[in-house]
Amino acid sequence: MRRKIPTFFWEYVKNKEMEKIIVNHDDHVLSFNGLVENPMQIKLKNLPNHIKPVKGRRRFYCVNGWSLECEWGGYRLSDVLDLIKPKGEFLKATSLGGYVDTTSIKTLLRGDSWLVTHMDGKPLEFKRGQPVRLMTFDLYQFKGVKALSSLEVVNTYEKGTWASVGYTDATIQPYPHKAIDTGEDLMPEDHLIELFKESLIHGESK
Amino acid sequence: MNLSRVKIPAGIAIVGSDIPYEGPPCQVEVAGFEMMEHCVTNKEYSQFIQAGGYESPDLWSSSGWKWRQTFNISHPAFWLDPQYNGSAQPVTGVSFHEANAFAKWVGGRLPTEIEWERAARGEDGREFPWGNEPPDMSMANFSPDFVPVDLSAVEVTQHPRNVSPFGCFQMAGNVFEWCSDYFHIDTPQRRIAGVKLEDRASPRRVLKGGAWVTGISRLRCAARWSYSSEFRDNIVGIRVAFDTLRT
Repeated sequence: MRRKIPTFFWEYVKNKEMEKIIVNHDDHVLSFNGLVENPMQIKLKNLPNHIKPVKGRRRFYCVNGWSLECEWGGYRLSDVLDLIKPKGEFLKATSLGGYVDTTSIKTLLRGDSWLVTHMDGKPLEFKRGQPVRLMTFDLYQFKGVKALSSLEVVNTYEKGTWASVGYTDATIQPYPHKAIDTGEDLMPEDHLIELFKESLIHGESK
Repeated sequence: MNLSRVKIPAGIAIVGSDIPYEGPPCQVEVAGFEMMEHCVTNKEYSQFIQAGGYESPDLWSSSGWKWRQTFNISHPAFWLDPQYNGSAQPVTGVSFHEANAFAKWVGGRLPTEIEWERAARGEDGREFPWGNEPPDMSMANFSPDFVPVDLSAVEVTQHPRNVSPFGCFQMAGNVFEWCSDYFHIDTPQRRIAGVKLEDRASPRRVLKGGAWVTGISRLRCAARWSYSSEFRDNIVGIRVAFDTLRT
């Protein structure tokens, strides 16, 4: 099925010049810093020397009402954290364009978040968050920072870019979302409905 | 304050849909009431601020007043942002608590979810306020293909064809509207047993109508969304209901 993936790349909407920033996957340097035992600045191409790459089919959800399942390739966030050994409660993710979002590490691990570099076997395109992005599969994807530049471990929650323009509640809601991959209106999976009932991140994202 | 209202006569409200967690569809008897013709504008809301609405505890629920004091709230979240503070744009960045206080100040209240659907769907239970045809951008401010076009709410008088059978404008798109019900997933099922107002406490309240960031599906009158009472988003506004004076 031919699919048209909606794109709302915040930094791009605000600054069309952003599209000129095409980052070579191999040369991109990721910074892991803040309250960590092992701070690192590492080229993306060298990450497999430290962490086993993973791939698998997973669905993510956009707060605007759609979802997409495809084969993602990248790294488990839990493996990254094992490497840098965090000493704080929250993870602040920052993009090359300055988009910021902070989420508790506990919440990010609950949903087995990934750092994604590939989509359906190909390196991420610009609009999908080239060259690496955070993917949160059990929260709305405005928490999943595109074009990731750094992950900083901090001890306090800070309002992120998207939260500052309004969106603050990333809990996936019990409502049909248009599955871009199938064209169907799909309800979120049962475990996401249960998370909604528990409102587990209520209070975290204020 | 003189807010334009329309009369919603007593009658049968057709609420819900066959979509999971929106149904089953059912018919509910609703007493007559009045509803604001448009959402509350920034200009109208400014009078609430100037009249000391944020300093008058009698207008607020106890939890709302505590919230206002704790966070020292004195105006909506986007009050100073030119993208959202046009005089004829709907006020946005208001929590449920602020919406509730404003409604009380003008002598009204927030509508129940059932009343909201009655005002939007009229007598025939239509899918959208104007009928059953899905909208294009000439009809409503929303996000076709899920990508925002206007990046903000438009003035409340735009899209004049976006009108319900009773004469309420822009009940689909632009900004979500707070309702008085607590949000629970199973509320639509409880309506069969006669529940007209969801009063089981919950951190969340019901939002209706969709907004400038949402796709078509959330513009349907039966669609439900929710936020906690404290959230102040730039996609949420206020429409006040009034009890009809009985003579």
